[in-house]
Order: sequence, then structure tokens, then C-alpha cells
Amino acid sequence: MSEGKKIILIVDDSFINRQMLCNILNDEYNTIQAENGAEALEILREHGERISAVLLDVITPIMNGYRFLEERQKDKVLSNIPVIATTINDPHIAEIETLKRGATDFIQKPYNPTVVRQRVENIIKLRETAAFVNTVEHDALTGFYNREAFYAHARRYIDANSEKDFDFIAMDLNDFKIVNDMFGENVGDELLKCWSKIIENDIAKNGMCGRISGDVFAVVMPGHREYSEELFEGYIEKLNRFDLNFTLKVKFGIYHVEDKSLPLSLMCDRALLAIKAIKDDFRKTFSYYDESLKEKLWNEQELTNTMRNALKTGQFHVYLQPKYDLYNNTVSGAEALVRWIHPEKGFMPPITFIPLFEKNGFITELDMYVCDKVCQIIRSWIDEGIEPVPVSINVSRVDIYNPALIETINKCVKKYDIPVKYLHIEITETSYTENSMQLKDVVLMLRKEGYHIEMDDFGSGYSSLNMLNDIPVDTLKLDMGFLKKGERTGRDETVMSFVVSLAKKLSLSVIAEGVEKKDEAEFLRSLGCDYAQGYLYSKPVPVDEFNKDFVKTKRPFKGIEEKEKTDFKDVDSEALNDILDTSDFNKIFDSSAAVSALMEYDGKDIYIKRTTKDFRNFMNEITGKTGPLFKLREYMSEKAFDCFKDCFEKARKDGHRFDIILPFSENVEKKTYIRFKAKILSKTGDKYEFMADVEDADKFTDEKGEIIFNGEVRRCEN
Amino acid sequence: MNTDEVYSKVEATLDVDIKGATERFCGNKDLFLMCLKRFAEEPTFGELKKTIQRGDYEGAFEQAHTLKGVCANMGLISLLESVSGITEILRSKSYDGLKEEFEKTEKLYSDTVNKIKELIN
Repeated sequence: MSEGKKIILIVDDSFINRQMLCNILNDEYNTIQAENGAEALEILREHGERISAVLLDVITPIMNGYRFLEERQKDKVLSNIPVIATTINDPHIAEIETLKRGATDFIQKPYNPTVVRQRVENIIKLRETAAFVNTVEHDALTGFYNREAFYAHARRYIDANSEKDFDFIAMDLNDFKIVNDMFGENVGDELLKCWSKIIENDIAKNGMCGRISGDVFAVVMPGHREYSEELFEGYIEKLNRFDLNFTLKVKFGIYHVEDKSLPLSLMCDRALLAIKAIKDDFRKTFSYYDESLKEKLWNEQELTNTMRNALKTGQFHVYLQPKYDLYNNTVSGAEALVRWIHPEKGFMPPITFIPLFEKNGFITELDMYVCDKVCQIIRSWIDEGIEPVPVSINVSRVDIYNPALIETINKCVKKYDIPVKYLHIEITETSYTENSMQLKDVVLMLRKEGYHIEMDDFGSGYSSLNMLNDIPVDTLKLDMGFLKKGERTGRDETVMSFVVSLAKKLSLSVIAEGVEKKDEAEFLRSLGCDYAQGYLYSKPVPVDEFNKDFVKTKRPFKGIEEKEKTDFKDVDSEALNDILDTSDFNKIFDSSAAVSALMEYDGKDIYIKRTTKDFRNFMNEITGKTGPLFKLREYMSEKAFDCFKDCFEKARKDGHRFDIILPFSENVEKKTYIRFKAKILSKTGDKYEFMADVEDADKFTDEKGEIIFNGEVRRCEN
Repeated sequence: MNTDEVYSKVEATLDVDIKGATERFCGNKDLFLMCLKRFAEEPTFGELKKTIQRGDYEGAFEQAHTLKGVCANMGLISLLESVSGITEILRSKSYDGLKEEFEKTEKLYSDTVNKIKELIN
């Protein structure tokens, strides 16, 4: 077959007829021949859409043309390939019947070469145009109209039914990025397909639907309806049958179309605005658009218009909130927080502008402004002969994408000539869920420059356990918020206690945020938490006040301790097992979406102590075995184990982390490479405990089976 | 004999619309002759005879139909007419005169086939 030519499939039981058609078409096309319908179907299934058209003799033995057409119609891909029926010039042959079953055109015998060529050319052109329109108008994944096509078709739909009322409903699948991150894009795509089916079959039964963007869908429905939480929760429940071990949430925004002349894009904006209003309210699944939302939008626009000028004219102020050492009640540091004191509106709460600035990108400028101010403050302490406390600045998840971030921070430090140890950087866990690779790079570089990294809001995201293995931070900040929702429950306390003990084993400091009551401080102290921050001690205060109250009064000052990281001191194994054996711990660990396990290594073997559900599934797939796994050594060759030993030994002395790709190929049914990303946690006698995330290393292997991986990875063969 | 000589003889000997057929073969005389030879060798007619003898008139209709198409493409004028006659009788499902019509066609067919075999070796 010659390259580049389109392929035509000729189906006829007569050799002569096939030869004739081939002869007619061979100059322009490649031809494939089939003697009957069954054979043709097989060829179609093999070549699929690479076949541009089929010339079909309606009467063939084994499977006649009609049955062939019926079979072909059942297949979505095949039904798109046009069929030209060939038949004798005979008015009695049921042409209509053939058409009904999906033939696109006819050619009559005896053949007229010019007509044959013309028909084939026409049909191919028609199909390509149709396919083009199809791809332009439809989203490939869900088959829904894409945004522009949806707007256009919905416009026609509304205009054609001008006597009717309509609702425009926008739907936003929350945390879809996290699903993609945690489970991979294939799972994400399947999820979207599943969701689109629910939209199509349940939500938009008598409406029109479209995909507006990645995880946003919309429908236009006839009527103005009053909706209920139950209704939408029903749809969400159905979506959650897509079993991910991860609760999926969807927010619905409804615009009762009042002004039908409004462009569809604006109707959509209004429905989206309704979603935005409840975005952070976990109790609500839907909301209606109303004019007050428009007002909110105007306010935001006004803030956007004035923010740059506000920065120039010094309307943004840096406030400091002290961090206390829970043991000796001394100030050990401070967090810098920004406040906007507007000339007309007065003191503006951060919640009114920070999310907006994160959205419009201005946060980066503001964060760097704060960084400059903080360095200036530290300089002034040094100049006044006061031993500074470290001050942490917040680096927004948006800043992580700023390539000049580290350079800008460095510039501030140099400008005021302050030691880097006084500038702490707070990053939030959400940055990790959004872009773990980027965050990891940024954190590694910041640490290389000597900055102390504090992980803000630890435990609020979904990947806390993964993150600890992945990102080398110095301090964890825990929000006490969840202890305050209603009564303090045993479970919350266990979570707190788990995180604090975990942090200790990882040689990390813990700062509890939002501490408001004395008994909370007591509780934290009993857990062994190091530092606290909150209204119990002080609200964020202007720098002058901070200087007056905390710097100039002669309270002892102590920085946040740098934990030593050489080798491990023995931990009390009983105390450790106390934590590990609580059912709450198991529950937390088990439901974590990480493919992780807690393992023990004694120099001779690797024992698996605790696993997440996903880890068990993963290992069962690799080893072909079900049931508990105890000794990993059985699945490793001598050489692989030596390699592991070597890595472990190095990690034990330096950094406590290792990242290794090992072959798992002996005594197992499936030869495969596994990547271990691990962190050593503790030592009891000769036994080391470590936490490992595992993943299939196939994606780091090229066609030749060579391992390609950019990170710090050790490779080892059998 | 070269292609053109055989081609002329075919035109002279058979009841064939050779001009029309050649056009259908896009002027490819060799292919036309090759297909003519193949026509003489193909079992289609034999199959038609068997199905009629069996009384499988539906199968016979399909065979006749196929044969009709091939005759039309090859430009075999009188044979096409004759096969069309069988097709119509089978379609009408009365089967009146089927035997006579078939015998007539069979004679014409073997006559044509013999001539082709003589002309093309």
C-alpha cells in the first residue's frame, strides 16, 4: 500500500466486480477487498477509522450487506465510516431499506468509473467535513458541546422557544485537580465521562448540556424551578459511586434566566458567580444568582482597580503575630501578616482581598512587598542591638509558579544584609496538592539557600502523608480550628497527637496555630507540641506594638530550635506502638489516599507494619498474591537487597531520605520495577522504622527498558 | 496472439458491449480479458443451478443477482438479458417458466463460456 493514500474497503463476493472497482480506484486510493460482510466487519474493526469509505455489494453470502450495515451501526467508530452500497440497476432492490440501515449513497452496476470516483470523493469529503465540524463542536472526551458550540446551540434553543422560561445551571466539580494528581489523568478522564453521563441522563434529561472548561459543565433547562439540596445531593451521591475512596463534591450555580437577550457567556458567568458564593461553604451544594452577587463582583473589580495604587501609597501594613514557646512562655518568633487599611473603607479583613489577589496574581507582588518589609524590620532590630526572632512570611501557592521567587527573596535579604536564618518561609499544603513537583523544587532551592520552611495548615489537605515524604520542611503548623468545631472529640485529639508524634519522629518542630484557650495550650503541651500561636497570646499587631510589647520589654527571646539531623536516638518503642495500634491511627492511615506503608528494617529484612489500602492493592497486583505481606525481602534479589541496604545506610547518616528504583522480579509472576520514596522515622535498637511511598517505575523506563529519571534515584539490577 | 488480437476476436465472437466494458475497465484491456477468463472459470452459474435444483429459491435469487451484476459489468448483453429474466421470475416468487428460462440461459452461458475458453487460454 502506498503511504498517504486514503483506504477504501471493497466488499463484493464477485472477484470480477472487486477487480473492476480496484482498477477504477487504484490511482487515487489504496484498496482492501473483502468477499463478504463478515470478513469486511473484521477488516473494519482492525483498521477502524483509517478506512475512509466502504463500497458494499448489498447481496453477499455469509453476511449480506444489510446485516453488515446493522452490525456496523452498533459500533460508534465504525458507524462513522461511510458506506456506498453497490447494486444492479434495478428499481426493485430496496434502496430505501439500505439507506435506513445506514448506507450513505448508491452506485449502480454496471459501473461508470467517473461516477464511482466522484461518489467516493464526495462521500469522503462529506465525512471529513462532518468529522471536522464534530471535533470543532464537540468535546472529544464527553461528546458534549464545547463552550462555544454550547453557547451557539443554547442561543438557538432559547430563541426558538421564546415563550418559555429557562434555567442556566453551571456545575463545578471540586478538587478535580487533586483527583488527577492522586489517581492520574486516565482516572480523571473516566471520572469526567461518568459525570457527563449523569448530567446527560439525570440532570439535563430535557435540556441541553455542554462542557465549559476542564471540570465545569453547564445545562440549559426549560422552566424556572425551585431546586433542593436533596436533588443535587442525589446526583453527587451517584457520582460518588465512581469508587475512588475520595469524596467528590460538586457545586451547582443556578441563574433563572430573566433576560433572555443576555449573551450565553454572561448567563454562564452569573451561574458561576452563584457557585463562587458557596465555594467554601461545605454545607451548600447549590445557590442561585442574585443581584447582590453582582455587587460583590463590582467590589472586587474596585479592589482590583485600586490595589496597585494602594501598594504604592502604603495602604498595606505588615502586622506581626508572636509565636510562643510552650515550655517557657517566651516569644520564639513571629508570623508576618498583611493588613489593608483603606482610606475610605478602613480596615479590611484579609479574607476580602487575599483570595482575590491570589486569583488575579497580585498576591506575588504583595508577598514580596511583605518580604521586603520583614527584612527591613529584622534589620532595624539588629541595628538597635536587639537579638532578632525569626519572622515567617507567607508564600502563596500562586508564588510557587513565579520563577523569580527565590531571587526576589534573596535580593531582599541582601538589600538589608540580614542572616537568612531570621527569615522563615511558610508554604501551604494546598500548594502541594496543586503542583507537587514545582513545590518540591522550590522548597529544595529555598532550603539550599538556607531558609527555614514552615508547612502551613498541615493536615488540611489530602496528601499530608505523601507530602512529608516528598518535601523536606522544618516545621509543621497545625491549625487548631478543627478542635474547635463543636466539642473536642477523642478522634480529633488522636489526630493531633498522631501528628505531633509523627513530627517528632521526623525531627520536625510543631507550631499550633489558632490557640485561644488555656486548656488548649495545656493539651498541646501534654502532647509535646513545641510552639503555639493564637489569640490566647496575642492577635497580630502592628510592628510598633510588637516592638513595644515583645521586643523592648525584656522578655527572654528564643528562636525556633533547629533540630539536629545526624543519626537517630532510640525512641521508646512501646510509646510508639501505643500510637500505631490505636484504631484511630489505623483508620487515618488506611484511608489515606497514598500508596504508602510503614516498614521496619533490621539489616536483614524489610518488614511491612502498616499499609494503606492502596498500598495493599498495589502490592497484590505486583506480586499476584493476596493477603498480608510481611517480608519484602522475599520479593527482592540478593543484588537488589544489597542496593537497598546501601541506600538505607547513606540515608541514615545523611538526610534520612532515599529514593530508589528496585527490580521486583524473583518469585513473582510479573517482572516489574518499583520506586520507593522513603523517609526514615525512628530507631529502636537495631531496627529502623521508615515510611515509604511506592509506585510503579514503568513510567521511568524508556522503550529499551532503560531507566530514565531526573530525580535522585538509585538504580539497581538483578 | 497479443492482447489487441484477442480483444478484436472477443468483439467479433461474443455478444458483448466491448466499448462499454472497456470504459468500465478504464481502458485496461488486459484486465478486461483476465476478468473474462475468470468469468468462464467462476462457479457462480454452477451454484445457481444447484440452488434452483435444491429448490432454494432465495439462495438462487442471490446467485442470479450476483451473476446479473457481473454480466452487466462485463457487458455480456444477451446473457445479461437472460439472467435478468431468471432474476425476475425468482423475485416474483411465482416461479412460472423458471425451468425453461433457466435451460435457455444455461445453453447461452455454456456457449459463451466455451467461446471464451477457446479465445483465451
